[in-house]
Amino acid sequence: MVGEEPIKPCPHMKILLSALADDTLTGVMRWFTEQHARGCTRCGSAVVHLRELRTQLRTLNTSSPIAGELRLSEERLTAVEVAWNRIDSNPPAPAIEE
Amino acid sequence: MRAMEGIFGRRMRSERERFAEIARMCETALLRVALRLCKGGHDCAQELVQDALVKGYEAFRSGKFREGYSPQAWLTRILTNGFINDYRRKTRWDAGVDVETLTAGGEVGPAQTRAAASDTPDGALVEGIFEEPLERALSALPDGLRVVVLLVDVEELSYAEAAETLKIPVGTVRSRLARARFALQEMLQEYARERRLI
Repeated sequence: MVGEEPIKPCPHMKILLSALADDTLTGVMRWFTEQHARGCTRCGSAVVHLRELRTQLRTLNTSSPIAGELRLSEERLTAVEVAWNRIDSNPPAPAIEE
Repeated sequence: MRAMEGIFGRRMRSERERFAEIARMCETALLRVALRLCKGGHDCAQELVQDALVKGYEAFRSGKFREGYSPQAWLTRILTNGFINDYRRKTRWDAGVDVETLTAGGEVGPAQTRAAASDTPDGALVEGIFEEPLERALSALPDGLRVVVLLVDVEELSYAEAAETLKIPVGTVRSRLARARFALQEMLQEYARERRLI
C-alpha cells in the first residue's frame, strides 16, 4: 500500500532506485545502489514502495475495472474485414511470398 | 453472429486464418492497452485497435511477423506505434506539455500540467475505469511517460523492446520509467490523502 509520508529519495538516485526496483540494475551500479539504499532511510523506503507499485502495475490487467473481456464493436470488425479484403486483393511482393 | 466470427470462420488463405486467430487471441489485451493510451476513451481505443489489426495484417502478409515472437507483444508494439504516429497528430500532445519539460528529478509537474476532469478525451469513457486509483493515476501521466509504464510495467516488455517500439534509446526508457513511477507514487499518495479527507 501507499504510505502516509511523501516518498522523497535522494534526487540523484531516482533512476538507479527505479532500476533496482525492477531488477534491471546489474554489476557495480547495483552494488552501489543497494549499499546506498541500506544506509539511506528515504531511498530504502522508496525502493520498497517502487517494488509495491510495480507489483500493482503487473497485476493491473486482472484487478482493473477493465480486467474482463473486451471486444471490438461490430462496426469496427466490419471495417477490419473490409480492410483485410483489400489487403488480400493486393498480392504481397514476390520476394517475401511463400 | 458477430462479424469477427465471420472473419475467423470463413474458409480463406491460411495466412488470413492464422492472423485472424492471433487477432482473436489478442483482442481483449489490445483494447486494454488502447483504453489506457486513450485515457479511457472508448472510441479512440476502438479506432486504435482497428488500425493495429489492419496494419498488423499488412505486416503479417509481408512476412514481418517471425514465429517465436509473442503475437501480443508484436501487435502491442504496432498499436503503440499507431498511437504515437497518428493519434497525437490529431490531438494536442499532453496539452502542449512535453515530457522533457517535467522536472529532471521525476516529480510531478505543476498542477496545470496534470490531467484534469476536463481533459478527458472526446467520446464516451469506459465505465468505472477511473474508480481504480492506479488507472486514474496512469491516465493523469503525460503521454510520453504513460506509454513507457504501460509497455514495461503493465505489458511487461523489456526495456529494449520498449525502446525499439518508441524509437528512443534504452537510457531514455530507463529515465522516463523512473519519472513515471515516482509521479505515480506521488499521485497515489495524494488520492489516498484525499479519500481520508472526504
